[in-house]
Amino acid sequence: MTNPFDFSGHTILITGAANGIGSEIASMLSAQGARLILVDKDKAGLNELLNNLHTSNHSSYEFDVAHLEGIDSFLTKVLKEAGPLDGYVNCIGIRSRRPLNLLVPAIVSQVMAVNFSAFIEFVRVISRKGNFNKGMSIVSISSIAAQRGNAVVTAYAASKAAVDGAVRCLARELHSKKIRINTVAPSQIDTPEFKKLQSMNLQTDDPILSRQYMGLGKPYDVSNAVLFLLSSASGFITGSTLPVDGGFLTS
Amino acid sequence: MTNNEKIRLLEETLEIEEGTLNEDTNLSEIGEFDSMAKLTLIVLCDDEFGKKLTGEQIKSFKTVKDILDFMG
Repeated sequence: MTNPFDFSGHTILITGAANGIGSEIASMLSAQGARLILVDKDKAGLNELLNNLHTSNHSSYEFDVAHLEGIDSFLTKVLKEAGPLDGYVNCIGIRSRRPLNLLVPAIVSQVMAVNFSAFIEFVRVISRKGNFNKGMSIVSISSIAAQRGNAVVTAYAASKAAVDGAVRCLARELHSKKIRINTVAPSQIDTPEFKKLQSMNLQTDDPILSRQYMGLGKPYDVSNAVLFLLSSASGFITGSTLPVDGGFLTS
Repeated sequence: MTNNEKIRLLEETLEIEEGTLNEDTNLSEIGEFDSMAKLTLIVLCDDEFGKKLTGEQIKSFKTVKDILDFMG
């Protein structure tokens, strides 16, 4: 029996590849033989990531997914160069923290555009005939915030809940093309962004860490779950949200 | 923006009664200046003044004037 976590010969697109979780996923997939297409708006971060990866057959593209109207032509160009995809991982998300009285429509729209609408548009394009290989798996990084409320993260939580809801529908609709689609819902993960948040020392919401009785998660915890969902080991799983939450949802 | 306008903006955003704050007001005396207000201040400084305020800097503020000076 072949090893389902051998990704050699697989072409996988990762958006938001330069951030804490995205770069961990890229590292793990590269180590398992995947050929990666890395997309991020952070050019320096992408270059640093490329330098750290094991092999040299990856490509990177600088692109800001906030430009919703430009996604179709961007992706069409990329896929013409790279060929059809075996996987797509979305790690892009604005981690918006705003009290309600500053949560004006323009900000709500911006968060929804980047965290939700861009993802839908990516899926729409890559699921076109010729852009994917049979058995393609799509994974988006969601959040337990989509299922648990907290102060100051209304737009963020709503955008992640929107992705979870959409994925349940897309699973059904994409089944005829033999495409699976799932989300991973992490709780708090030890990333540079979290360290910055901690250093602010503002307690505006539930003490997160006390509810995660397994402690702070690591990027590899999320990455392991993503690789599982990308692989044939999860071949009977679609339309689901997999918590990677250190027990948060049970506490 | 004048300092008076900035003070009015602070009062409005932090939902403090108009006319309560002046430059010399000690932040420790403002009941509404809790952790939610501090996050609000961080977002406000970025939105309105393009300045990135950190938790460390907020700790160093003693009076309303310190906030106004940061806003620039």
